[in-house]
Amino acid sequence: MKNVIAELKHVSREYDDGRIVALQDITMQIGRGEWLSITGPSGSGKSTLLHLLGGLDRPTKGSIVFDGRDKISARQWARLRARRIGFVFQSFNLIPSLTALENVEVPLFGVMRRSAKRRQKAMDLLERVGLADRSRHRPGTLSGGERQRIAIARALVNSPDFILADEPTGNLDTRTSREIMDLLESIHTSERTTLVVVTHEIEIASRATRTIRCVDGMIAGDI
Amino acid sequence: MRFISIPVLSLGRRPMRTVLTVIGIAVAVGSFIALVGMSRALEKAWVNSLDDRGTHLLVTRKGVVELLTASIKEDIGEQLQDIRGVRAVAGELVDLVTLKSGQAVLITGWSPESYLWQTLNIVRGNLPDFNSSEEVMLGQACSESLGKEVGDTVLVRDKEFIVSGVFRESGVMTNGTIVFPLNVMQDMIEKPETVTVFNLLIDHPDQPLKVEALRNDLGEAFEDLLFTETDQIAESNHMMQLFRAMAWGTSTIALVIALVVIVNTLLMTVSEQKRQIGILSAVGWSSERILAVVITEGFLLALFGSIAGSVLGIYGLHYLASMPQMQGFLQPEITLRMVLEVCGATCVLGILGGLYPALRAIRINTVDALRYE
Repeated sequence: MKNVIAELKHVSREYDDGRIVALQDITMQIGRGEWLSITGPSGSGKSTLLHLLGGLDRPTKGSIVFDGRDKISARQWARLRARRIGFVFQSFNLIPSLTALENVEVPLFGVMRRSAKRRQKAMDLLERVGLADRSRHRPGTLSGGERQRIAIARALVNSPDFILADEPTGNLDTRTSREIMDLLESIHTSERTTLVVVTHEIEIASRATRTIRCVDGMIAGDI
Repeated sequence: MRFISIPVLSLGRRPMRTVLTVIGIAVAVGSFIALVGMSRALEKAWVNSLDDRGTHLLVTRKGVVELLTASIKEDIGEQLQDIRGVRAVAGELVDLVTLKSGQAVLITGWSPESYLWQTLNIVRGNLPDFNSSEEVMLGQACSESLGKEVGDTVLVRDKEFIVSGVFRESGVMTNGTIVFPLNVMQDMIEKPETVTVFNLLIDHPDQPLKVEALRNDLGEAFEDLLFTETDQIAESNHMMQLFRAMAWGTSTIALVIALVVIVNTLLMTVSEQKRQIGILSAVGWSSERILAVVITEGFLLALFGSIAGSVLGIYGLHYLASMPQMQGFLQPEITLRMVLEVCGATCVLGILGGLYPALRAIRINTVDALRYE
């Protein structure tokens, strides 16, 4: 594959001193600008794979290469997440004590010094996901769909080129799920970002240009 | 949003716990300010009372811990007077008595020819009639707290004395004193021909070398006596040293407890906000920035605690000083520097207290934290 953004080389992830194997000898590449879905039953290791791709977790064996860089330290992964990788989670993972705007601002600390600039950038993103009028609301007062839009705005605020979404529609109804996927897809198309979505919904997986199926911590299919 | 909003909101999530922690720190800081302030107040009251009299050197008995129990033969005063460089000698008998009202009052006896009588700033009445054995003078604070005026009688050790006059000095200790003619007090407390200390006026008090030389001469001539300059008397006195050590010891323990309270609160906060820490890590916050959030929380707790504690300590010490039992002994002595020092030290403790919970926070596994409910 040409123009690879992320690559896993014989990656394994074990827990409890090897008694639990979440991922076993995974080798794969993800191309820049690719729209990839990862499917599989619960416990198949798809979320673990996503966490490893974003540096939230470290492999017990093997190595991960991101944009040609190998042996990435925890500090370097944090820097990559702050500037190049955006995460979207099933349970939104917004900070309840912060407003929608402040939640979107959070990743900008350390990237933008001036508070006013951070605020403006966050506001731009809220407008983009259609929630400018909800900027002062706290997550607890918003619907699931609105919360996920805020989470997407937060993931996009640093203009990442690699978006990782872990079951982004898992807590949403069908109509909202479609809207959220439309939003993610439009970002993928307009920004040419790499989009990796973990899902167990066939309809969502079928929208991707490539689908990887995980079973028992191994890749059972790549189409 | 500024960085400070994150730790502030974090503390605001559990307002009751935050308030209780701040109160805990405030009590520790307040105790520190009140106790150390009290120790300094006592020292200042003593030094000021000596300054009022113009005393240059105070003569005490060597090895005595509690000054009030010391006794020196009165006739040593004549020998002291013979030493070259000594301008005037004034023997002074001092004791602490409890009046019928339960009030503790410092009493002091001066011989009729003592220069100390001339140092009094008499506001009402006159010096006692030294031919009578029934007259005393009251310091103004003593007069006010006892409610006695010129012509009234005060009962000391079952004997009534007539108030001949009231004087006012800047030193709170002198102001709270009853002054007797020396022989009257010696008879009353059954210490004939004895004094507690001698006050010395010397020829060149502003020339350190001459003062030192005179002290050496006096030390050689009177081996069992100690000659201390007025401004050093509080530092060299054993009772004051003991009181100071107790004040510092108790205050330090209080501050250590405050440190434990901060650590405990922040450990709970870190534990409860595990998910938030995971989110911050997931969106790219560095370990240092997460560390800074928790340390800032510790700093803020300490800052609010020290501000509240300073108010508490200053008010507490003034309240103590205003109590009738303490009048004449305490002159609140809290300097801005002292308050800033203790607030600064508490804030440093807050930062140190935040360090361990902060290290725990950055060791949290991000994936586990994101799953934490």
